[in-house]
Amino acid sequence: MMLKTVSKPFIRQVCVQTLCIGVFFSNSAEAEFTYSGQNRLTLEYYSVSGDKQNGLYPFEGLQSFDDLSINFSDNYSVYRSMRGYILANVNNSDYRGDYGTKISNAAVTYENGESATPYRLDVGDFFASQSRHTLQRGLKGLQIELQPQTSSSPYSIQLFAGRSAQDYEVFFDGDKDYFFGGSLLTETEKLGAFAVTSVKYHSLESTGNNTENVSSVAWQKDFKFGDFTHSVETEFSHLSGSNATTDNLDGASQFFKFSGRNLQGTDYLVRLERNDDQFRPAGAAVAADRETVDLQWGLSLREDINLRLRSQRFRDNYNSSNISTSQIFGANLTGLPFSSSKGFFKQLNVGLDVYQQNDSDENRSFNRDSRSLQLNLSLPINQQWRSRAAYQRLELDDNLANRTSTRQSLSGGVDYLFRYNKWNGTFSPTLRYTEDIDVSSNKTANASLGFLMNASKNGYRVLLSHQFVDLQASDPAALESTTAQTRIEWQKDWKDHSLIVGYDHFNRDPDSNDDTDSYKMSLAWVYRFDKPRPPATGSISQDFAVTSFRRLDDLRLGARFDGQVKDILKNSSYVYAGNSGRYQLFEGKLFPNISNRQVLAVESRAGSIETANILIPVSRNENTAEGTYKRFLDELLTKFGAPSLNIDRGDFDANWIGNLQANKFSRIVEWQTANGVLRFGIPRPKTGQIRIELQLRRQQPSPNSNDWGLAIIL
Amino acid sequence: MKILRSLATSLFLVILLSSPLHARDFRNIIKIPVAPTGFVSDSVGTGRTNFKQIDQRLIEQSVRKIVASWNNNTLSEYLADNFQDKSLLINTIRRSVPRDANLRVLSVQGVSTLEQKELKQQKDKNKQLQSIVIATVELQIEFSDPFNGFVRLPHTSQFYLQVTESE
Repeated sequence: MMLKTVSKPFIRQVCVQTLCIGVFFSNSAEAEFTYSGQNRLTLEYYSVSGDKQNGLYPFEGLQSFDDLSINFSDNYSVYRSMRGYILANVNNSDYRGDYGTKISNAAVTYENGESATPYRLDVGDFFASQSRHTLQRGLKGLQIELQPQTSSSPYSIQLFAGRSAQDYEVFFDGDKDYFFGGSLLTETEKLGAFAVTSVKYHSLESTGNNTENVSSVAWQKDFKFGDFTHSVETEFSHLSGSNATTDNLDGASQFFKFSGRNLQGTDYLVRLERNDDQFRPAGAAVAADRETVDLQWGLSLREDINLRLRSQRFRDNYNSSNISTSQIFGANLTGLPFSSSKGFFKQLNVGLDVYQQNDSDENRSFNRDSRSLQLNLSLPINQQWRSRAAYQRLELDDNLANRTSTRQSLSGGVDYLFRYNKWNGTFSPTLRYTEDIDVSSNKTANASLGFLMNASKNGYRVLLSHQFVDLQASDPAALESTTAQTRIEWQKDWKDHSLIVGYDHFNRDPDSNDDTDSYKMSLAWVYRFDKPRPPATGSISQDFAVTSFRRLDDLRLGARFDGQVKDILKNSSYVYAGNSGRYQLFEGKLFPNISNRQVLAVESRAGSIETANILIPVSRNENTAEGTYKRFLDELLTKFGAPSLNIDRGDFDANWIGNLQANKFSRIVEWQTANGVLRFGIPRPKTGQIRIELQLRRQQPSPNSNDWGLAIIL
Repeated sequence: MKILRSLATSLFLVILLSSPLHARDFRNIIKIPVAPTGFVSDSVGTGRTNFKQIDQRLIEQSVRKIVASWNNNTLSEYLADNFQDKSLLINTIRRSVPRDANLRVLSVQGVSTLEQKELKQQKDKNKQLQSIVIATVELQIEFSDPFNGFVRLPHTSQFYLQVTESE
């Protein structure tokens, strides 16, 4: 019997069931093509007086630049879409590299689920994320992914070709070096995920004369045993070809990972990795000639106390006769140890990290012991007050020379939330004392007093910070001095425009020489444009509420932020540590395999989550900072896959912090999630503290500027 | 266009939810939403098919019933067996939504059919027509917040409905 049309009703029974509910912003207008972006024109004036040799700014006078960022998208149908972005700048500043107009990043992604073989095409910038052992970096070029529709398991075939270039001027230059290759990936329920990858790298003589090929096979499977969910993963890789040192490359890598967790909060990780001395793929993110054993075990001692133990061993140059070994034993404790008491310290949040590390080699050219203790305390007094204190101690023993050096630092401060004449703001004074005792028992000491204040009212924002440092040294070779640093920033937002005025003053006053004053004044005009215009009203998000917290985007933007969400955070090892302005802070570990402090800062508005952020203080040392950055990026790449935006400008070198301040160093990686845009990177420090930040918000500010960090003192 | 974008968002959400429990060192498959057989995209970009039309009044009545069930805690009766994290949604609503919160339908703006197929019942040899229908609904949640007073949260939702018509 044929079915009849609806115009002649034949329906006797109708059953309606809901398959899915999606919720998005209120907006009645439909748009064919949408775009958004912003343009920022910045004028800066630099001046140095006094002893100019010690001034902060090597170039004086007027400097200017203009940054433009545009995002666009078009959804041709439910199954066919296009999105992209362009970042361009006009530079007339000595602090930002070469003069002229440049397109630094541009990308278009076209996705078609209507064709017989669904495909995704990336043109321009894309992040080639095959595996850590083959290729994991941002490239400019082409990538196509095919997902053939089979009745059994899903398949994915990726083919790509591209260059690693900072901007499109470099991309089109004569020194050609290319990555190209592909991978086949399938995921089956019974056998797990299986991938075969091959990447070829070719460069001309001027860039190393490499012709190398790295291939790998990888497998990963989840399974349940006992009350644990386990995961086993392995990858075998081989590098062949030629480079500047050999015509017969023969490098191999073996990687094995076994991990698991249960619902009671216990987890473990066993990671073994071995890379030959010749295993140095140009696009990989691994250390050559290294053997790694990484054992970690985490557990909840109580509902609000978490302990993590780690033992790591790295053997470098293991193919040589002089193997150097680093052995680390560490423990990390976070939580509310006095929560069961009724006293004042019931809400005292404690973060303690201790480790001992031994570095030595077989030739006994060095043998060092490092012992580190980091203690962070925070105590919310009430909704307006939060007090904080920190103590750090690092001891270095040179066992061969029998010498010891020590560095310790003690700091304390408060955050006070104030309201005055319709201004809402935070005032955060901090006192810090740092002491260094070197191997000759010479002592240097820094005492610093600083404060940060930010306030806002009806489209106006003000930021004021000041820090005074007094350096005392017992070593006659050291120069005692005082420094004072002041920053004032005023911003007015009016419709699509913002006007930002900044003033920076740095004074260095050595005891025996002339003092130096460095000034910087800046004026910026920001114009934002959107089509269609963003909604004026807020919205609730897809799931109405937070139900778990394993990734930052589990904190649904717009969801209610109440005691139940805080309980979920507590179950995920994050416990409340007080308020700083409109941010509620929580101490814990979102990335338990990494020992760095990871503070969660949740911004709420009218009881709903506005933004969610992870703040990770990082060392000023370029090698340590780079290692920390890469470890977190690796974790994020494994969780979120290839990012939609990757900016990698400048190197981690001795001047990296200065370059970060001057916008010549930039690290920004973004993922488009179903719950906003996730940005990871290193913003320009607003509080003097260098931090890696992970921020989730509905829209991110322009990636052209480094000025996107949060003004929170940890 | 907003409808399409939200559908893509929802599909992306489903993909995220179905990702492996443990992160791995090599890449994952980020699935491309695949068009069902019979789907034809037109030049305007809205996507159309030669599906049999579903009565819009029927959809509107159903949406109102579903929203009413949200208010009286019987939503689970209307959620399909394969609804993603069905029990999680019910528990979340029960746990997190304020008790005095009321969900109100402001309007049902658009209804379109995404997928349609015939089902044949072996027992009584009757035929069924099963359609996947997307309805765009203007909703408003209203509740009293202890800090902010009476709160109205207007938003636009998309309901993915499985409509089974039997002879």
